[in-house]
Amino acid sequence: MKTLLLRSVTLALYCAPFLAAQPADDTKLRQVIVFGRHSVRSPVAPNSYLNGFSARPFPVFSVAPGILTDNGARLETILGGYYRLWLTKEGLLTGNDSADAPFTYFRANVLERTRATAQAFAAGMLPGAAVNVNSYPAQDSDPLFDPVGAGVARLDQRKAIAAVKGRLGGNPQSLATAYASEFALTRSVLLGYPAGQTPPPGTPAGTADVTTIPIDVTAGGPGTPVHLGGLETVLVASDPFVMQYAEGMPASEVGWGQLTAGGVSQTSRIITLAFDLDYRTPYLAGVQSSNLASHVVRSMVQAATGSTMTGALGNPSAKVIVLIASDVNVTGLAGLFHIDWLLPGYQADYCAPGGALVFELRQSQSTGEYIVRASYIAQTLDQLRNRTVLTINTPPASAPVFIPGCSFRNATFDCALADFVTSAKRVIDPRSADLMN
Amino acid sequence: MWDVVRAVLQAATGNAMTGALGNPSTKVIVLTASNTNLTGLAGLFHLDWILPGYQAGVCAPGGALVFELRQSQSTGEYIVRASYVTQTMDQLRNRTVLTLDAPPAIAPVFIPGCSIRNATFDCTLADFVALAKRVIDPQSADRAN
Repeated sequence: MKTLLLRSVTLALYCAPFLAAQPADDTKLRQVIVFGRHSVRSPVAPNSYLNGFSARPFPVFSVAPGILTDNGARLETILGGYYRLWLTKEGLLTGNDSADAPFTYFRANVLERTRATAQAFAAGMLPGAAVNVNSYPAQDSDPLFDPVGAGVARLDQRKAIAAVKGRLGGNPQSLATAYASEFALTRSVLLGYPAGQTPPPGTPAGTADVTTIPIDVTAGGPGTPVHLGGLETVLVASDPFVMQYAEGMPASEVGWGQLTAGGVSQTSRIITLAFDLDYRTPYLAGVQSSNLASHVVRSMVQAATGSTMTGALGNPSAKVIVLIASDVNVTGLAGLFHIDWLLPGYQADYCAPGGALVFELRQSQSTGEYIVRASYIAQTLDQLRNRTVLTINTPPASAPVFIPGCSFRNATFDCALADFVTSAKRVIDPRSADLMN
Repeated sequence: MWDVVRAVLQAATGNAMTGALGNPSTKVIVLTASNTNLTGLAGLFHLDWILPGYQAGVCAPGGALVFELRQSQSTGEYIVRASYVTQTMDQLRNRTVLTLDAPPAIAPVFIPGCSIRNATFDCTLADFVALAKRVIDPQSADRAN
């Protein structure tokens, strides 16, 4: 302990002059790529299904399953309004929306909630302009967000199962013990008894206890690389809690009055666990996120060079690129680059409603060099619940993100564009990417 | 990490190699350090495990990453097979005698970028070396023992 203290003091002595000596940021923002999750939606599973897992019926949302709520749209417009202020301050937007609109590119996954989120974000960022949101027809697979479904990437199912099982000692059921606290909390909420009651009561007749369904790794289906057995069912049953809180439902309807913001967050550890396995496992991140990564990197290179490039989004003068998909997509891209974040009130790597990985392409005013600066930006749970108006002085939560193998040691973890391209080449699986839009 | 990879190579080729541990005829190499060292090596290769009763990635007392260098009897090809082997909490507490029938807990480990899809997540030695070259920072490694 004494040594540790001594080290900390020594470190502080060394760091103080170093920090003071850091040059001022002389970079100018040239392009920003916002890759976000849709905002608040109703549970994806219908209540008729969810109610089979709970002692009391799930609260009813005002929209059909999986649809962006009115509040979700409002929240995303608030968030878009923040980006408007920030990007205007950075000089990327001018305040003349119809003049700025041609320098934007919006793309949403095929789902209603992602398209509506992109539209709501645009309404906040460029309120005076009609913005076109690019998307594939609802029945199609967008190769950016579902490259396997679109035939751009091929998933070897047996290898997918091996890659996930081989992170779990071949025995996925071990997760039930490791996550016993989260399972116990979720069970107490679903079945309606105080958390920590011992012994826990039995399961009411006619209700399925999701926490006892065997956890296994088996072949997946469309949009799900592998199935995780009971872990997936716990995820489905606990997914509504975050949305109930963020939607602003009365406290009595957030986990039937049994969950505070902290409790909501703790149950979401099952969600981040399942997504880690399904989307961050290196083989799966490579297959599912290489095409998106390739397009992100090429869009930046296109903006830096000013020359049209195959496999880039928008045109060389695109200043703001907004891509809206789901938490699984954001998780996958982050996993491919081994990018992590943690924001107050949330679990590590949690993809909040409306939360986005943000890649800034900046240019040094003195040397002309291009750098990439990454962050993860999301409204806090309470900013969502309270529909807090966001300004430069009341911003959303923001996590500067270190890009392994690229970022250097300044406070914003900048990374030279050339190094970012090299890093991307190392992690992108070329067989899982194409050069089309 | 080069020490480990080079020791495996040295054994496969039968030729002494700089930066390898032991000599080319060494059959069992035991390296004992701390949980932080194991966590670091696993992190470099993005190796994960979980064993019953433990949290994911916990390095239990006595627990070890085990790299087996195996040779196919039909093709002569060398393969690497990784696992994490450790006594369970209760085996530790009860000082349980371990035998082939009462073994410690064993997690077969998938090596990302190398393992194939069989049950033991085998990885050819050539692929393992290629992978090691990708993850090892040469400025942070030497060739001395």
